[in-house]
Formats: sequence, structure tokens, C-alpha cells
Amino acid sequence: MSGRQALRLLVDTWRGRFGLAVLGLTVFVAIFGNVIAPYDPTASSLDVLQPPSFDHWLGTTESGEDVFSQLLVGTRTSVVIGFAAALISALLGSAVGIASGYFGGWTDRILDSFENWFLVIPTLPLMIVLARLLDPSLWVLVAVIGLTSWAGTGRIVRAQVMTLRERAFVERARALGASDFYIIKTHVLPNTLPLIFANTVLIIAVAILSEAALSFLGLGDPSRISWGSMLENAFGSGAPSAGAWWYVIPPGLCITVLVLAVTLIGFLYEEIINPRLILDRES
Amino acid sequence: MNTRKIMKIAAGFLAAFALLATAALPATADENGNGGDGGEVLRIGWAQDPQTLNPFIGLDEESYTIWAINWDLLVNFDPEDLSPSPGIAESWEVSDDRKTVTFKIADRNWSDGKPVTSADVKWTLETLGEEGELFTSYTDNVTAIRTPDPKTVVIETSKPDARIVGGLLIYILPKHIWDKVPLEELTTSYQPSLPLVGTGPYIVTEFDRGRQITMEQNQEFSGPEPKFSELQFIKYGNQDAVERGLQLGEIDLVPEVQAATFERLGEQANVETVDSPSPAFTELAFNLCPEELCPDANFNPAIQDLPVRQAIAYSIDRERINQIAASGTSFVANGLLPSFYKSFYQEPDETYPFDPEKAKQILDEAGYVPGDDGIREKDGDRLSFNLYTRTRSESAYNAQAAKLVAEMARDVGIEFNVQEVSVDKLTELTVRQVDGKPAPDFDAFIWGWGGDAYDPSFLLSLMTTGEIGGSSDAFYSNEEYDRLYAEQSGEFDVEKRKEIIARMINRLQEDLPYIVLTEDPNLQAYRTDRIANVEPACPAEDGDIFCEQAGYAPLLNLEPASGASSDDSSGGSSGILIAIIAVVVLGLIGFFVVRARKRRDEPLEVDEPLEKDEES
Repeated sequence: MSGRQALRLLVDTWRGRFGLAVLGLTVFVAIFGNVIAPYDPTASSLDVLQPPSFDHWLGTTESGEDVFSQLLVGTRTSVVIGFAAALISALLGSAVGIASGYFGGWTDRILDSFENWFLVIPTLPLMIVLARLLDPSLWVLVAVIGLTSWAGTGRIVRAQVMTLRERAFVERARALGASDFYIIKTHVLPNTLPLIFANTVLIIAVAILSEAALSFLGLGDPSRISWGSMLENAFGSGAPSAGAWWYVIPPGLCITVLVLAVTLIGFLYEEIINPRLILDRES
Repeated sequence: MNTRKIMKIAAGFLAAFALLATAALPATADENGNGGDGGEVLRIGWAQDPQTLNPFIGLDEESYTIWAINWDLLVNFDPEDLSPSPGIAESWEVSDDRKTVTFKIADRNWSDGKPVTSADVKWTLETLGEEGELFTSYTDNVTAIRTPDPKTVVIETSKPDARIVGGLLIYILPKHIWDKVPLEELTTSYQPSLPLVGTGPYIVTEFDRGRQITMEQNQEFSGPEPKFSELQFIKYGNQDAVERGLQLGEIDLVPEVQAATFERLGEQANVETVDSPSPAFTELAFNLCPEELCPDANFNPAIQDLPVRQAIAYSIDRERINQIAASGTSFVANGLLPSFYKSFYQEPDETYPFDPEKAKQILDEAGYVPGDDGIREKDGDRLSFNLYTRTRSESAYNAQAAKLVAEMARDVGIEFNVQEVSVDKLTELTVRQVDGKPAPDFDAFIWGWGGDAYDPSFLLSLMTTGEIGGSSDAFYSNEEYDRLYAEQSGEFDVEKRKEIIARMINRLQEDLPYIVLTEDPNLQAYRTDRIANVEPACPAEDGDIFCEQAGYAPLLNLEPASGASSDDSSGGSSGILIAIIAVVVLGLIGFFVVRARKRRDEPLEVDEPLEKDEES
């Protein structure tokens, strides 16, 4: 499938359009959120926990801060963590997966058991422990999420590389005297890249959810607003029982919609690299 | 370690006082005790429950609540005005030199039928007063306790000590049960067996840690029969759930309500809120430990520069903190002594009204100039401090106040990095010791204290040099203050004592070891369809529902409401629930629409598998 066709798949389907639109809007807000925000998101005021009004489109928090502004500014944290953590996980996962799949033998056994270890350990508790041990900051969170979510990618890449290794074109290259590095670079990597990419997109969704979960548990970067920390504040200040829906629903909805969008794109990409998925369902 | 416990105790004491207020009119209650036949259960909800019922090691204010119902003090507090009233002792006589007090023990029985004797009193005061984490300070001046006969106790002190009558906050335990346990076990792991033998109106019969404490009527109780047959203390885990429980009628009484929800709770059907003054405050404390006392203390030295603290004081709008963080339920404080102590309170000469311009001017004059990021500095000393506070789940008010302080101080060029930590961690930072010397590890923190309702000495003692290594957490040391403190504690003339205290407070306002932010009332709520005859107690008129940690007397007056029915009305949060459900349903619908639509999408072109591209 060519790149043009892949793009068509994105643009022509309802899911693709929705995913792209949401993602585009989110990235835009992530970049310009600070500029668009009508208020300083951390400036307190005496209008405490007010419902949405003309002045405050999404009402105010327990300290009289503007919820809408917090939502805009908090987008950046979620997006940065989602993308950066997914990137780390993709790099780590593909490096380990390719190495263990391509070289096999002892390399595979050691890396694979390492990978199994990460697969088996429940991710959220591990993240909580790591985030507790380290001082919470944006990059610690990125590292924690990235380091705990690569194992799945690694496993998929390893399987793909193992089949590639036995292909005739790889053997031909090896017979012609190509080095391992050359083979990985020109044959293995390009053929696993779409798979890595599709997986990474899905990990973005996981990373965004993980950030929200950790922030909600108070393990996020305290100096940054994120959707998760907004939910934490809302919950901690008793907003749900105060009936302050404007404080709870917007960040929750943003997380849901963004994760949905990313997941839809991820599924589409899976279909691109594995067209049988489409056939199965279309027939 | 003792320090914090005392603080907690004191805080509990305050809370107790507030509660007692309601129960204060026992006589009246007896008269019109309609339907008070004792078939009803009084359910009290709280966020946390006691870790232990052993008073040697218990630290929580929740423990005090239970102890104060289960046991008596040697001399109880009168819920009317907190004056001494008969407890274990039915009468007492103070010698002319005020150094010897002779108590006559009342003719009462423990709940297991054994009589209360002077041996119980002596054993408790000596053992619990020496070894109990929270009780040691009360017997500091006691030199001897004699028991000439089973019904007489004589206490001698080194100097006149007003606390011996009406301030000896040590619950009297039954010796015949407690002295069977080795002291070492008492002070470490001992968990008392149930029922918890006592003299109070109710005794603990069941302690399901983390869930519920059940107290049943003590058949040997000598006072009027309580109207409720049983008390249940139900743990909810968080304050929000407690208040929800009250709205739903799962519980009848909440001894501690959050400021943020207080007003809303009062608007609920069948819920009445009680707002009673208490000698509690919230302060911004600074690490003033002098080099010679704390060589290993860890702090930014700029915090010990007086102009910096003055500027901080002027930069803080305490009324704003009250309005936003305490929802306007507290009062702006002026100095260490809460206005609760009406006979001693006097507005200090310097109150530091909100004046950011003045704050900037002070900093300018002191040579602190704004750096590139707006934070002031002098010779490389940046005015950037850590500011510790309790986590929001432990005190929503404190955490929010810290945020506001940081915001306001930032405007004059002082940076506070707020760090929410657990109470345990905060305690650790303040009581830290290195080589046996105090080594506090903080620049500033926000926390609170509660005083003894009957006397301001405890709060004043916090600033004495003698308490460094004890209760002092600002590590303030001033000779004049220490001298005045000793002077006021021996002064029995109220007017003269007030003068001395005013000088002490003025001293503190000049040196600013604390910036006391607000005076915090005790906020409580109960269900009117379940509890009747609620009268403010401890003190009467504006006190609270029952004197939580000070005694049980007001509890005896509470009676089941005649129209006690299960007329539950679930309040305003149903709206949000509906909204959440709506979102979930919409999400699900969206998901299925996407799936359905997928089928109608055009079939997509299919390429050959990737591997084949390469292979060909």
C-alpha cells in the first residue's frame, strides 16, 4: 500500500476524519493554548466554584480559577506526555524487538525474558511506584510511562523480525556479504516500521490515559496543569458532590475524545499494514 | 515526637469542645425526655478512625473522642463554661499555698462492677502521666501523689498549678486491668481487650478497625441514663463521603465538616449545621532556629531576615485566604492568641494589614531587588523558599491556603514552592534531629494548632525556648518572651495576666515566627430528624454539639428526634451523576455508530503484503 492510499484511508473514512480533526485541534491547542486562554489558569479569584457563565465559559474551580483556561493550558501536558512517552516506548520497543528477533540465540533469550518481565508486571502499579520514588516532573512522568509501556511493541516487532530474518531477500543480502547493520537498516527496519508506527499511535492513547491516572493519584508534575490534575483537584475539592459538573466533565471528556481519536487512527493504521482486517470485516 | 501528638490532642480537644456545646443543657433534657427510652442508635460519621484505643500510644484526635466518652477525668469540665465539675473526684480542696490539692473520690463503679478507688487515680496519673505519649506535659509540676485511703487522693506540686483542678486532661483508667500488662507492652503494641472497662456513659464493645466502633451503654454508669442506647462511629475514609452519608441519612452526626461544604450542607433538608468558635488557628510558620541550637538545620537563611518575613506578612491578604480557602467560615487572625480567649485577647499593636506596596518597599529598603524572573535577591540570596503543607485529603483548607500564599507572595517578588506532604512527613521535617540536636528541615510550612479551651498557656508555650525540641515548630527563642511566659503562668489576676500576654503577643508580632492566618471555628452538622435537644456546649450558647475530647456530659442530653423517620432526600449531586451517565451512554452510542458506519464505508483497495514488495 502506498502512502497516498494510506492517506486516503484516513481521509475517506469517518473514523479517520474524526481522528485527524481531533488530533489536529488538540495539537493546535497544545501549541497555542497559553495564548488563547482568556485567563491566567492559576490566578485565584473570589468567584469560587461558579457554574459556567459569560465570563467563565466553563465555570470556575474551588480557588476561583477559570476552568476553560485550565483546560486549554492543560492540553499541552497531556499531548507532550502522550507523544514523548510513546516515542520512548517506540524506540525502546523496536530496538529491543529488532535485536532479539534478528540475532536470536542468547541475545534473544536475555532480551526476551527481560521483555516478559515487563509484560507480566502490572503497568499501573509499577508506574505508581516509580513515580513515587522519583520527584514528580513532566519528564519523569514521560520516562516512567515510556519505560513501562514498550514491552508490547517489543514483542510484536520481535515476531515480525523473526519472520523477516528467514525471508529470501534477507538471506540473499547476507550471502552477498552485507553486514548485520546494513541488513537491519535497509531490509528489516523499513519492513517493520509501519508496524511500529501503528503500535506507537496506540501507545499514545495509553500514555495519555496513564498520565491522567497518575496525575489523578497526585503523582503528576505539581507545577503543571494537566487534564488529570484538573480531575484530581475537582475530586479533592469535593466538586462531584457539590454538583460542579463543569469542573469534572470537561477534562474527562477531553481525555476520552482524544484517546478515542488516537485509537481510531491506530486501528486504521493496523488495517493499512494488515489489510486482512479490512477484508474480514467488509466481506 | 511528643510535640505533634500534643498538638493533635489539643486540636481534638477543640473539636470536642465544639461538639459538646449542643449537649450542654442536661437538666432540661431530663424534663422533656419524650421517647427517650433508649432504643435508638446514634451514628457518628468520620473520615478517619483511631489507630488504637490504647491511650499510651494513641495519637489521633479520633482516639480522644472515644476516650472522652469511655472514661472520666479526675475533674471533668462543665459543658456550660468549662469550669471544673465532678468527675472521678466528687469534691476537692486546695491548700492555702495552692500547692496541695486533696480530692475525694466519688462512689462510682467501673463498668465491670469493681469500685473506683484512689489507687486507680494514682496509678493512672503516675503511669499514663509519665509514659503516655500525649499526656506527659500535664503532670510536669507534680511532686507527689498520695492515697491516704481508697477514697482520697492528695496531689502535691512544686509550684501552684491551676491545671491540677480543671486542666488535668488525663483519662483515669482501671488499675486492676491495666497494671496486669507490662509497661513495655503498654507503650508499644498493647491493644486493650473489649469491652473497654470505663466509667463513662458508653463503653466500647466492638472495634472493627477501618470500619466501625460500637459503644454500648455502661450499665454501671452513675449519671442520668443516656437517651441513645448505642453509639456507632462509622469510618468513611474521606470527608466528602462522610458528608454525603449525612445527606443520605446513613449517619446522624458529623463532628468535623469541611469549610468548603459547610454552607451547602446546611441547605440540605433535615440537616442542621453548627458553627462554634474554638481556640484553633492556621499559621504560616518559619524556621527561625538559631545556629547555636540547631547547627544542622536545613533552610534558606533569608527566611531568618526579619524584613523578609515582614514583607511576607504584608503581602498576604488573610481575608482572601479566608474567603477562598475557608469559604468565609474562618476569621482573620491577628497574632498568636485567638480571640476565642475573650478574657485575654487584645488586638496586637501590629496586625500587618494587606499592603503589597509596603511589602515591596520593605524589600527594596532591605536591598532585595527583583531578578530576571521577578524573584528578588540580594548578594545571590534568592527569596525562594519551600512551603510545606498537608495534603489536600488531610486538609483541603491548608493545601489551598498554601497555594494562595504562594500566589500573593509572588506578586511582591517572593517565591514559595508549595509541597503537599503527609502529616507524618511534615512531622518528620519539623522534629528532625541530628546528633541529638534539633535540625528542622524546612523554610516555611502551613499547619494549625488548637489550644486548650480553658486556658491559653498551651498556645503561648509554643514560642518558648524550653519547647525547642518539644512542641516548638518555629524554633523561636527570645529571652524576654520566656520571662513573660513564666510570669503569666504564675499570675492569677486576670487583668494583670492579660497585660503580660499582650506584651508577649506584641513581641511575637514584631519577630514574626508565625504569621497566623485565620482562626478556625469548629464546624459540625447533624440530622434534625434523628437528633433532638441539641444545645451548644463547651461553652454554652456558642459551643458545639458535644464536647468531643473534653467529656461526655452534653452527649447525655442528645435524644432521638420524635419524628425519627427514614425520610431520605438525596441532594444536589444527583445532577452530576446523571450527567456522567449521559456522557458514558453517549460515548457508547458513538462507539457503536462508528462500528456500524464502518460497514458502510467503501471497500478499500488492498495491496499485496509488504514483504512481497521487497521480495520481488
